[in-house]
Amino acid sequence: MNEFFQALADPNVDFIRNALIAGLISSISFGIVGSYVVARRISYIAAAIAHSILGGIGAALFLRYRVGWEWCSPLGGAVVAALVSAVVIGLVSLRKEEREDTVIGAIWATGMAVGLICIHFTPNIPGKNLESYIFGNILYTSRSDLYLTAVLATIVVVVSLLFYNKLLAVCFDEEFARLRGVNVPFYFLLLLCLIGLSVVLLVRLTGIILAIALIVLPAATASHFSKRLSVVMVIAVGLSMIFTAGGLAFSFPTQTPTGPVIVITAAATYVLSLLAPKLRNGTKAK
Amino acid sequence: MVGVSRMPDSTVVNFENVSHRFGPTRVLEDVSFHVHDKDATCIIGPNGGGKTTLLRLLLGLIQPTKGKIEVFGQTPRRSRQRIGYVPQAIQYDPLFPINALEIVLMGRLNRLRMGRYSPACKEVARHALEEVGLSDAAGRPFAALSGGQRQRVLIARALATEPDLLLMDEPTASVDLTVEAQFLETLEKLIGKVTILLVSHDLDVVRRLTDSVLCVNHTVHRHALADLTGETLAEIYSGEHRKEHERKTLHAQGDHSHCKHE
Repeated sequence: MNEFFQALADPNVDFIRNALIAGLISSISFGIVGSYVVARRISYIAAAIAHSILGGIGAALFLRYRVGWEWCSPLGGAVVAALVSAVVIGLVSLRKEEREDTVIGAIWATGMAVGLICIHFTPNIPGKNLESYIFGNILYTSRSDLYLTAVLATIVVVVSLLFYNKLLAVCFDEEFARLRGVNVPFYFLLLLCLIGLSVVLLVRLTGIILAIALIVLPAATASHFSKRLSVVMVIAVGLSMIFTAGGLAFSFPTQTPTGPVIVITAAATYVLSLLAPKLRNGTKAK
Repeated sequence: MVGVSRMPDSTVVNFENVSHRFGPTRVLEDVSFHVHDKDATCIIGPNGGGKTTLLRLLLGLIQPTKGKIEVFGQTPRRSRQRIGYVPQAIQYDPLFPINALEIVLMGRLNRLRMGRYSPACKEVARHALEEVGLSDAAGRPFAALSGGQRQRVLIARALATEPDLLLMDEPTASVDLTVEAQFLETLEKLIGKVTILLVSHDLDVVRRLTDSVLCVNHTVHRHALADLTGETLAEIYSGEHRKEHERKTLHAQGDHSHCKHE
């Protein structure tokens, strides 16, 4: 643990500081967006968006290293793919003409397939890029990643707080919101886009496969402590920050992969919060 | 309140030869009726008879296959803001993290300023909670409320819209007798102030509120409550009659001779 704080203080080692700052900033958006996801029960949609963005990452890597478009960044590709799959899934979910779960499953797998094919035809990707996108590697966080993280997180936070009351109404009672003049399809799509952007923030941290855990688990744990969405959000943000910083502090000196450490910590806390009241009641009963 | 009705003859709701079908199934057939300003009207009829469809048409959530619907002299969609709608509490996610006041505030969604509710809106919402006897429960989570309290929160939400027309879908279906009595008191205070349309299976509720009912069973007929004899009710609710009705609807396609109670 000491080693971690020494590295943080060392002016010559900036990657660990970048990683910590990126993790803390993006925790704010996971906490907020995750609370909507849990309340509205759409974690399967969030998971589908998360997996499908491999398509965007793969396409961007292909265009950059095979076609030679230097300006194509993998995270930029991830943003585009996240928004596209959010809108497509949202439209299907709103139309209710096609089976929603089928389409969601299809987008999930198709996105990954596109990504894997693109990466297959791009042999000269520097470093361990592919794996780092799938499983995450926060220590690869560069300064430009840090800027992108800050921009995305600001967008997510500002939009979801500005439209808090409308998003709350759309999540709780779509029909009533529509009757009160709220443009329900627009706000539902907006929410899915915010989920998409939050998942992109998680690419570095946990990778796309584990992203859903950090969106859902802090908010699900928080919902055991409060029955108001705004309070759930605050607690979830705090928990995300603790999991991220704690995971980093543990994984750095022990050389354990950061993403999985964070996810396991989050999952263990969730289980504890689930069992704690039952255990307490159990002792009372005796 | 959102202005005064522009209709000179005080008609608030007007259905003219309205038919609605879902695919091949006719749900409503050549329905015509109107409701006057400040009237309290109950809607009764068997399940599957088209009551919910009627409400959804009134709210402009679905469009009629044929015919014309006017609410406050305009299309239902345009008049939505003047309608306070109370759905059944049973359809909501009981785990959703929200409290009573936050739900009632949704009645003021169309008046958000910079995404926030004004103090005036909060005052209206608190007053609405008071009206349904739940001032103490403003901060209680939805999950912690009883079935009856949830239903009253939804009524408060509709009142918070300051409606000219209050539309309720079986508001007493899931509440106990004490709550029903409280609810009726609340509603009686509103009679004469707003136009009320209420779907109910409960004839006691109907009797307390109005002397005029609309019977919805694919067609719509208005009855004076005094005329609702056991025989008429049997006709509306009994399975045999409904089967016969459906048979005739399917075969005769628009033949009205089967509705003896006109």
